[in-house]
Amino acid sequence: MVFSSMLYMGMFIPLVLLVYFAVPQNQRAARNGVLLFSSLFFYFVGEPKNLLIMLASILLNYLFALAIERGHRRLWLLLGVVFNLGLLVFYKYTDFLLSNLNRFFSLSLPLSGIVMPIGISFFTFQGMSYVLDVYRQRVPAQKNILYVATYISLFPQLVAGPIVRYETIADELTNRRETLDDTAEGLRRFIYGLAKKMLLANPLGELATIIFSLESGSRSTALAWLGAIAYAFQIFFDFSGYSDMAIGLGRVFGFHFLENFDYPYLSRSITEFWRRWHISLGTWFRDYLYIPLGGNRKGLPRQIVNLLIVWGLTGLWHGAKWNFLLWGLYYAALLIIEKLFLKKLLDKAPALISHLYALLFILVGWVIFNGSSLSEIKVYIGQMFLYHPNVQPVGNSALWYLWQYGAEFLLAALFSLPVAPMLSRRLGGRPWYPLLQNACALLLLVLSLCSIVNTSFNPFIYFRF
Amino acid sequence: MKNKLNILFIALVAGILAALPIGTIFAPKTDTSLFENRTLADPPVLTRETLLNGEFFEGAETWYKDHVVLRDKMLEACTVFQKYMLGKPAVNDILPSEGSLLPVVEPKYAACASDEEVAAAVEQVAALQEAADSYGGKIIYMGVPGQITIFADSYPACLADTPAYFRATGEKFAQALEDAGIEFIDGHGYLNQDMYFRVDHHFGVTGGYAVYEQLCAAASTQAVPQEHFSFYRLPNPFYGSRNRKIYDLTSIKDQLEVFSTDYDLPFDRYDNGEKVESKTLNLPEDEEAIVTEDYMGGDIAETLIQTHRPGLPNLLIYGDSYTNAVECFAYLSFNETRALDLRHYEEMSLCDYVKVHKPDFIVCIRDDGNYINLTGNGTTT
Repeated sequence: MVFSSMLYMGMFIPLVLLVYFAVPQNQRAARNGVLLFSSLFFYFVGEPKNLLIMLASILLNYLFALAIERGHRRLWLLLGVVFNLGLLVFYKYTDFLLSNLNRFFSLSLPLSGIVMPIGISFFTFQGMSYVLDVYRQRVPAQKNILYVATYISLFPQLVAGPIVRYETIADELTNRRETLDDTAEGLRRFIYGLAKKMLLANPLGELATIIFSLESGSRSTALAWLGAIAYAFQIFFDFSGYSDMAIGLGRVFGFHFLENFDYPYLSRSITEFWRRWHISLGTWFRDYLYIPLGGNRKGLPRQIVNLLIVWGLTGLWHGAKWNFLLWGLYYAALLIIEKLFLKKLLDKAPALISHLYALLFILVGWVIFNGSSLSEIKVYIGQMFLYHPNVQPVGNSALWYLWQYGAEFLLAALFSLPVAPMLSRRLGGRPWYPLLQNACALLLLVLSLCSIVNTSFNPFIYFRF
Repeated sequence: MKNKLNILFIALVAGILAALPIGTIFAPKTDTSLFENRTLADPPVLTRETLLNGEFFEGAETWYKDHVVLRDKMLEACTVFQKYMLGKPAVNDILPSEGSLLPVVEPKYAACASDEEVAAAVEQVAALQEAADSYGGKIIYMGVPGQITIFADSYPACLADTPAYFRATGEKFAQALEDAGIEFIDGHGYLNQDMYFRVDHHFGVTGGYAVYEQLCAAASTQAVPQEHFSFYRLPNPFYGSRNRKIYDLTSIKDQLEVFSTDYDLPFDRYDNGEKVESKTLNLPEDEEAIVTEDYMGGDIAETLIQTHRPGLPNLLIYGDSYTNAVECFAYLSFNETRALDLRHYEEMSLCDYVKVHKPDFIVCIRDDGNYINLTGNGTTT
């Protein structure tokens, strides 16, 4: 089930909220029970056959954590990591591995046809972080499996993140308090996220899909840029919208998840971009892979190797395709170059130059990310930079699409900037500001609901990860 | 104060969300959507299989979206939001321009269709010609302008490539038909914008009559003179294919054009083999909203009209919905008139049909946006 669906908005959410808040606040276990049951049902709706996989993941991570506390810590940790990675590799990468074995060694191994369970990349990483945190003694192992189950399956962030670490919400699982302020703020955040998804990401995604699927000879240079920008906005508003919905809903239920985005297109370098984009994934890889590998503590050559490993895996985490690996390594290369010398130059350069630099490479990155094949990526990037032999610089269709989607582009550009915090800072003290804030949220809710009924184009990019 | 506002806000959000399922349960049910011109989804069937393979929940989502309370109002709100708040030139693929509601055209990246595409389309017509030759029948291809080309000058410059593409393709197609020895009559020579609706992609009955006159001339048979017909427009709200898509929310309106006649010709009509009432127009009885299905009852797989005048030739018309307005008149000048819509007719191929019924004239009526479209009425074999 996706958040931007009628079943979710017009059935699931009202029912869950009704039942959850009907349970007295001091009945924490019962409220958690409501959350757990709803989360399992939520997953069942989207992946009826794969619910057992998630339940197995919950059970085994629970047992591994308990075992770690009882002795043979390294052994149980190793088993826990192998189990989680094995689960991920089996469901996500089996056919990728087989098809590449066939390709490179001229074999004809049959493909497995395994269908990847939705959200497996997120819930295995959450499960793994729980086991690792217990191993590092940052948190004690949870004795009650229902709490572990609630943590791993919590529906607001189950299928598309943010990747919530156990230590972030360990205390809140057993000891939280839902307040009026949190509920109102959470609902507003949820609505803003829904509006980002329905009113900006979907229409711009439609355009990006049209442009990326054009035959190469039909794409003018202007159109290629427009497609890349549309996709950049689509993925940002899609994913950050979903994160807003997850964080907002979490807050309604009394949880305080960490932020996942911090206006990434404001960045002045790629290093900064990755501090602002998908923060929960970046910090996960930093804390559980980069630092254990030695990080930057073992000399420059080792640091470069570490960066290549971390970013190669970050790319592959997004999907079992070569373009994701390339995308990860592309960022590794940029980060290494910045670490070697460029970052210092960028810090001294005028802001406009460093912003343009970052945006340019981010856009190229999204073309790599969204390309259906390496050859198509090459052609597309070629068209952006005008050296493809069949390409024309501007076409009528680019003008038309700019006209048709101009309002969305403007709004997307505006809301990629910290407009809401700025307004809140400047107007927050005025007596009418909360009223305006609520009125805007209600209007956006109604418009988003209307859009859900109206639209047939409603993909969610991070679901496939 | 802040707490009161928060409570009010939470209550309103909860009220809106709760109103969806509750309102949907109690709202009156309908199984069709007038504006979208389609049947709404049936409720999903719950079985172990549909539950486990995800079909049940997918079906439930579709059903819910189709039957949610205030659905038409919600769709209208989306249209208003896009049109008036975002200021989009086109909404739901409809572009209001110079008094007409035009379809947004897919940009074309070539001057016209390729030789291969044109040859493939001509090959289908030539195969039909071969079938007709076997008994002495004649094919006439009556190309009519689609809304995109008849209103080509109403498109903004950045979309002008597409009407030009269709015109150039039409010329290439006409030449190729001529080279294959098939008569082609180009509607651009005698149809004009006034004969077309402003809120629908078809021409009305004046356009239908104009095509009929040309058809009779090509078949060397007498057309019933125009003075026998009185053309007028019905006052009822008219939902054409274009204004329906934007919930009739623009100021661009039109009325359905119909006619009365003093030319009384008895005939028998059969739709898909069943005898039906002998009429060509379905005129509304009251002020209800009407649609172009009122010409000949819309797109029907097979229609047969017999006038029992064996001295006159037999006619077969095939094509998309542009044939409907022509069929209203064509039977007047032929003994037997058959009309096929191959998008719906599946009993046999058109070539086989022709060999079975041996019509003297086989007339294809297709719009120039579809000359090289090999689906539906583009395939004769």
